[in-house]
Amino acid sequence: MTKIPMLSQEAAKVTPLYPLITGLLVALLVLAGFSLSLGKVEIPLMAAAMGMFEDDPPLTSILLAEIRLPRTILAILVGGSLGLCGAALQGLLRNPLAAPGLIGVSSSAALGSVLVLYFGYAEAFFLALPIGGIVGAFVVVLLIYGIAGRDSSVLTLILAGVAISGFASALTSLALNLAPSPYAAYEIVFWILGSVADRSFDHVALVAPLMAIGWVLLLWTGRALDALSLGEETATTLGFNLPRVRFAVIVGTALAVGAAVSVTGVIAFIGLVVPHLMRPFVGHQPSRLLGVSALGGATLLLAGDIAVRVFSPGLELKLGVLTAMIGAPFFLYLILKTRREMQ
Amino acid sequence: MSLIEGSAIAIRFGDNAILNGVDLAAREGELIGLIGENGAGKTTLLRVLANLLPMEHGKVRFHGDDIQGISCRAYAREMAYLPQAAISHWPLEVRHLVALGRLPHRDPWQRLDETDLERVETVLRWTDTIHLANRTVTTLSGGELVRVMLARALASEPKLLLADEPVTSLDPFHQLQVMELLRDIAKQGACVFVVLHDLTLASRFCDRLLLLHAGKVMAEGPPEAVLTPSNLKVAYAITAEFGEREGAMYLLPWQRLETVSGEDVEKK
Repeated sequence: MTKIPMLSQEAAKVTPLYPLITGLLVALLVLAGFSLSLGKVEIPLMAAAMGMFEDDPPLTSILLAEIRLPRTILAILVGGSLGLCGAALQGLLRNPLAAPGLIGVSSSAALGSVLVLYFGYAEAFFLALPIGGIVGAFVVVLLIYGIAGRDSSVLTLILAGVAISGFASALTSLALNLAPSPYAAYEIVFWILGSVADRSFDHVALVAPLMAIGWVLLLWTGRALDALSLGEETATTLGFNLPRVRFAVIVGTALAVGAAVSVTGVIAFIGLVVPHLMRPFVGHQPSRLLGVSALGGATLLLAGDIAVRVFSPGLELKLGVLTAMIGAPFFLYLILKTRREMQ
Repeated sequence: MSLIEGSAIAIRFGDNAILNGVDLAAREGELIGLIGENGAGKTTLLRVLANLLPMEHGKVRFHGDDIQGISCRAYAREMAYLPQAAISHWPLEVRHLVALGRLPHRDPWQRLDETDLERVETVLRWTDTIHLANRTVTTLSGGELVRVMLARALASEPKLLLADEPVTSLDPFHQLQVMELLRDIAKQGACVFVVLHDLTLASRFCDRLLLLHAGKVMAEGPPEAVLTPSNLKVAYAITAEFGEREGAMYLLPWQRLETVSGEDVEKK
């Protein structure tokens, strides 16, 4: 047998993720700084940040703490959630076209929140809106898994997603249609358009813990998602309890996306685009995709929110509208590419 | 003692009894061919042995323990399953795909260590795929893909390997290569079950054959004892030409009998 040079050293060279992660973190920090300094009022960041801890904070500090900081943090949390959920769903369904927005999870989470609002439960108790969003998301992830989980057919998945999204949007429109007052209608429109503007720390505090639980569940499934590259039966024979894995992804997605949508409305395509962009950098390995997709999602959503503020000052464009306008053509491109690869 | 032992295995899908009282036992070091007509229950039996299907009746014991009582993770360290037409859903690099076979031995969050990498290298050499280590699986030919998937299955150092039609889509060269490999794996001490349609390969390479027919083991034993004209007539409804070369038997399916349904043949 011919002696082939030792592979071990070379195989050990798993392309390190540090450059990518560092790059994303730096980008995220720079964007966060930019996001905080962006607005009608010029705020000297350092001075204002110091001022936040004084007994009688100056106006700029209040502006920073009450308006810009929650907006920035929420953009990061929601973007991270969408990116992570997209990566996990794609791994579970073994399908690059799975994403929370596309398969109807976002729109049904929005519907959940809208229903809570419509029937007047929003003021009933503290967590009513996020719970509405989470329940809406949960029902749909479960439904999608039931329909498209067995075979990983792209067609079934997308068609089921179209049907569910359509139905959820129709019900949301119905609520809009029957809205008792223009003010109520305006509130409902908010979930359809999607934005991180004008949120307070209350919103952040409300949803951050729920998202965090979702993230832990999703990150926990990394190994199993790797094994699922080989199909469900093989993953089982590699020692993974698939019902448990599915449960983790479904509940994790419902928590993260449901909570996100309940405070920001539908911000489309982040969960689809980000994992797709990151995949080549991690050798297409589902487990390594999770973390970088979360970072990428946070970066992209924050960048989008900055773009909205820079390019449409005054009459501010809603973030969800912008991501949909950019995301939809990208989705089309992805479909064409997938079709080519399958031939 | 047997490594794996099945008794009175019965499975039905709806009204169809797929397996109806199958008994088997196999030791380490054996290469066992599962043969039988389409729908005879070969794949189902393999999936039962892999603990992927709940049985209606019967028991499968591994090292004397009921496999339904073994955790799927513990069983994963002992058994590897290679499904028919195995594919990768993502365009992974070959070395990463093969390293998936190490998952049963790694704790959550634990990275691939030196032992894992050495094993990956060993199985890549074994299956003659080391030159493909950095290739993307989607760029492989059918023969290369089967060998890579086999390497993945071997990476976990299984005592029991269950391979479902690994050679069906291969050209003759690669059929022989994969069969030789399976024989080597058995010689190294593993117990290998392989589903085959090619009766000559079954007869030449397997230590023992299990002929399934109508959900039962119709014949079992060394290839010469199983591949008899009368068994072929009942199980496959064919006649075959037999020959011998270098002391090994070969056979060539020659003619179809009236019907492929075994029951009708039996009635005549």
